[in-house]
Amino acid sequence: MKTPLLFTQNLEIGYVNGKPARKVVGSELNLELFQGEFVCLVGPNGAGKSTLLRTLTGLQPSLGGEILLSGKKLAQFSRKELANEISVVLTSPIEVGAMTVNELVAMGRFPFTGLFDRMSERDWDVVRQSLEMVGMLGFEERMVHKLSDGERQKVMIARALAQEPRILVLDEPTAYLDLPGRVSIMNLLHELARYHGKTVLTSTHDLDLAMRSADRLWLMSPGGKIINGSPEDLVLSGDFQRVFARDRISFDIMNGHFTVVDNSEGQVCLQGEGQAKVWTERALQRVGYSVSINNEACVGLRVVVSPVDSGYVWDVMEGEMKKRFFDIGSLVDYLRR
Amino acid sequence: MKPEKTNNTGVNRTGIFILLGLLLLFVVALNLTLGSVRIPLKEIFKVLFGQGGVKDSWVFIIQDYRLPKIVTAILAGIALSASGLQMQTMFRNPLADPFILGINSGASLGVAVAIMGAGLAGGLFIPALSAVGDLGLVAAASVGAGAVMGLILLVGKRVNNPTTLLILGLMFGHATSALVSLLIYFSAPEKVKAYSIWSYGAFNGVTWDQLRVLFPVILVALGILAFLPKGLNALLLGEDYAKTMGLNVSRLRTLVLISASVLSGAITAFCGPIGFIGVAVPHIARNLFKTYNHKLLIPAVVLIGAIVAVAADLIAQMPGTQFVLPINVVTSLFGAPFVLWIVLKRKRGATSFSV
Amino acid sequence: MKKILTLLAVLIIIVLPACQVPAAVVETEEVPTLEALTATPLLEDTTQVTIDYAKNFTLEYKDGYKLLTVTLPWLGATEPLQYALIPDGAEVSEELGNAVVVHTPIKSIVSLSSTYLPFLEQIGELESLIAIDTADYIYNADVRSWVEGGRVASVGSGPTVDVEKVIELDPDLIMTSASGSAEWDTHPVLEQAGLPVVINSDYLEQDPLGRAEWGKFIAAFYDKEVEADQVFDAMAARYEEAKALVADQTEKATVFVNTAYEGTWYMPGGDSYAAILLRDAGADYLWSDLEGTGAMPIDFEVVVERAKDADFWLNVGFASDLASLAAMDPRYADFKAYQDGNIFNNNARMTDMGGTDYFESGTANPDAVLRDLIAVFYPELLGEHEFSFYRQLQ
Repeated sequence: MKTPLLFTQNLEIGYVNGKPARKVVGSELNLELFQGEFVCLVGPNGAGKSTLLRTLTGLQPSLGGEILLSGKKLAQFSRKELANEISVVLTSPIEVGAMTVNELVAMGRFPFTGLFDRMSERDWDVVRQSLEMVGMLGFEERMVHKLSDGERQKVMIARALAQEPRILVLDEPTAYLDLPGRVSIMNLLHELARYHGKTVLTSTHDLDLAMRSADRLWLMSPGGKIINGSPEDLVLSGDFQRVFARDRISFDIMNGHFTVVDNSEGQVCLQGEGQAKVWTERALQRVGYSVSINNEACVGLRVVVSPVDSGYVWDVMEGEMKKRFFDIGSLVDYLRR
Repeated sequence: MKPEKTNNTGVNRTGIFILLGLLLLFVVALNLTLGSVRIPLKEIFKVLFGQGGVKDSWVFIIQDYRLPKIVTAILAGIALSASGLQMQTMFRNPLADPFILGINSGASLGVAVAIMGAGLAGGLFIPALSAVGDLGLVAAASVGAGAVMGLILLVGKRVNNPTTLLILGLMFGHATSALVSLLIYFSAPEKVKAYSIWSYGAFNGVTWDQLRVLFPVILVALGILAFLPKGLNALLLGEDYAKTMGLNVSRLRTLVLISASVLSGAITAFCGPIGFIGVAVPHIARNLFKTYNHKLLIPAVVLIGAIVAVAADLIAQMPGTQFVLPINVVTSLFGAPFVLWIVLKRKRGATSFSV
Repeated sequence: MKKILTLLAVLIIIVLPACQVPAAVVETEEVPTLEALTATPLLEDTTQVTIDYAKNFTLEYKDGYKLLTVTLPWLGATEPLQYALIPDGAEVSEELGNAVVVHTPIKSIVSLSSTYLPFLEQIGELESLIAIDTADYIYNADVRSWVEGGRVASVGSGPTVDVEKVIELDPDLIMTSASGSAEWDTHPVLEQAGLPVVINSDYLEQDPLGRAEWGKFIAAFYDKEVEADQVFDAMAARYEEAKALVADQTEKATVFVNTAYEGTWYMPGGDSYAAILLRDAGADYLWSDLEGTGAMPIDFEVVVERAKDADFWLNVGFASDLASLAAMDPRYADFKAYQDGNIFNNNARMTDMGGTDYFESGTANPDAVLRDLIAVFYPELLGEHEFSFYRQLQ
């Protein structure tokens, strides 16, 4: 049984000083983080993910319970000691632009350079290695404000890595990025854990990416409780469903994504195979049909998709009526009227 | 392995430092020679090198008037710029100036009470204060500035958010200004004029005796600043990042507040409030050297601040005429368009301080 | 379109205040000299006085009333102010225009400046005083005791003047000076309350005798201008006598005045009251070439250059002795006048709060001031002299 790097016991997080005076955002949190794993903290908005991360990194005090880092209470670490254990990447882009990538990453060496901030050979080595890990070698002399958002976040991750922490904590690092950017970052985090042995904890809204790349998920519900486990277990157990459930939104366990449940149009039977069937089914669901693949007991509306030389054809049948379409768009238009 | 080039901005930083040094010498020389009274260069050198044979009044003018004035201007330029730089970094706001926390207003209140408060206090003999002359005003201004600084430090310890501190500082400023206005309202025109004249700012009211006090104070405050570049750099990323990088943010903030307040408070006490230098010089430095790094910026603002102040004083002297302009008029005339330019420049995309 | 309108509005708001065109000084008519009047075919009328030195007011004797015109009420004033002094009970048929009517003789007065008090005293009307602005700077011992005793009230000045108190006192006249700006002036507030206010601009007179002649202005309201005239004539004669003493001075004493403040030295212009007095006292005022009547900001080093070796240094503000003067700025000790101890201040008679008699009875008695000055510069000329206003700093 491995000992966890980070371990909380009955942790209670929240705010003092706000309105009301003491607001508890999460309680009875018993969490563990092990060396070399990539954990994603997911949950609906407002569940308290940021609060949790800020509490775990010492940016905010806890309301009760214990946090232990490498066996020592968090509160007993000095700022400097804590900097050697944890480094962070936050959501908002930094406000300073006129630095080179090298200079920004070099800031990660802060806890190691002396009072007058002298960088040694080793310090520069670490900087280079960090850039290499995030795949930004060659960008050293570029000015930070000229980078794209995705590149900049990678540089921020490099900076956090240069701090040589035991745990890398990120708070919604992909929030302002476009899709390729998000994929790239989540993939990077996954690799940092898998191939470089780093321990990574990140919060994210990218459920799909999280499920594909994380070793474990911390699923935070609006009530401030966390269920943790491997992504697949959480789906199969229905926990995922429950936490994210909303009116008419459900999690499609088969396909691993959320759908809006809309059966207003009724039922349709679908017959076909392979990718054509999958995408036809999606289109039918999109316009409000509930699709049944069971072909035996099929009354009412029926759609059959069949491959032909040039692609596919769709036949719609209901009672005596039969119509043929050559693309999904026209099929859907017909059904919609 | 250390990278070969740590400076790829195309800017020869050493070269610029040397140029700035030369420029400082140049403006000092100019200021020394161009005064309201025409003194030939040869005679100036004679006085500087301790040779005799120069007209008495000229010796006096150079030794007891122009030299202390130039030294004061240099100190003021350095102090205000260094203070402004710290304020801009701490609040991550390019428009922050040394007086953003109301230190200036505190000093003004002290002086206003000294000059105008007597009548209301009913019986204080203000002439006694005036007999101590400018030194009395220095004391009054110091007390006022010190009081505000104390308040800021007290509050600063309890407040986590720099924005809150900023707002409090602004409110202190407004409150003291309101009190000053009240005093003005109830005072006779002569007193108000005396107060106004103080508020115009002057480098030439400071004698060698006063410099004996001002100089070490500025030196100490600058000394504190000398240990802060690393922390200030980290602060640029934001307080959260700085904390996670191991920086003791609240200690840094206290030190910055002390250093910046003493720098600006001391200058205001001795010279009156002098505007624009503290805002403009850090920007000039950042743009000239194309850097954010305080290790470079601090010496840069020191040099540039000195140059700007001595140049402003030169202009204020209106060489060739008997008359002399208040410093604030000169700094405002040049400073206001400059600040306008900073504000407009920001809209055109990322700049060295894209807040 | 909206943008243009807004821009226009902003421009107008900015430009409008600047549109206050400074007025040219209102030119007074040539005041007829004593000789000219007596040369007219009219019967010599000993109940009329002439104004010979003062440039800022005129006194005309009309049919059944007197017309006082203050030609320059304040710097930058565009119009003169007129007061029609009509004897009690009488009526005047003439068109009075904008002139303010005052029924004479007045029995009570509120004086908002201490300079008016000596003039009241010299016509024996000091007792008609019922209120002043503040007792802090008043030197006159009688008035001070009256204030303490409650017989004379303090009403302040400026826009914060105690209007209600003044209304309650119901004076026949309130006399004050004005600056033309609502921030400082007392009279708008009083006029609004319907109180009788008269503007006195004696401080704008630069000629010492002209300034003293305002005693007649004040006396006119009491119908006592003839008495004032007599006092004035005697005083003017003494003034001219003293002036004649030094008229032939070839070796003139050099003199400069005031002190520096925040590195700038405000030096009175060559046509100012102070400069004229110095000139009449036979001294060489080192800035007599400075144009204008106000004080100009001169660079400290210029003062050093020009006045370092000056014989005398006068009017050094609040300094009471040489040591405190040097404490204000150690560089003052470098002046020859300091080293020789030839520094004189006009605060020989001073109250606790710093009010000096120089600014009170000095205005009404420029002959005494002049004699003091002559005694400073040329002590041998006057022999035994007791200083009224000036004292030497020790």
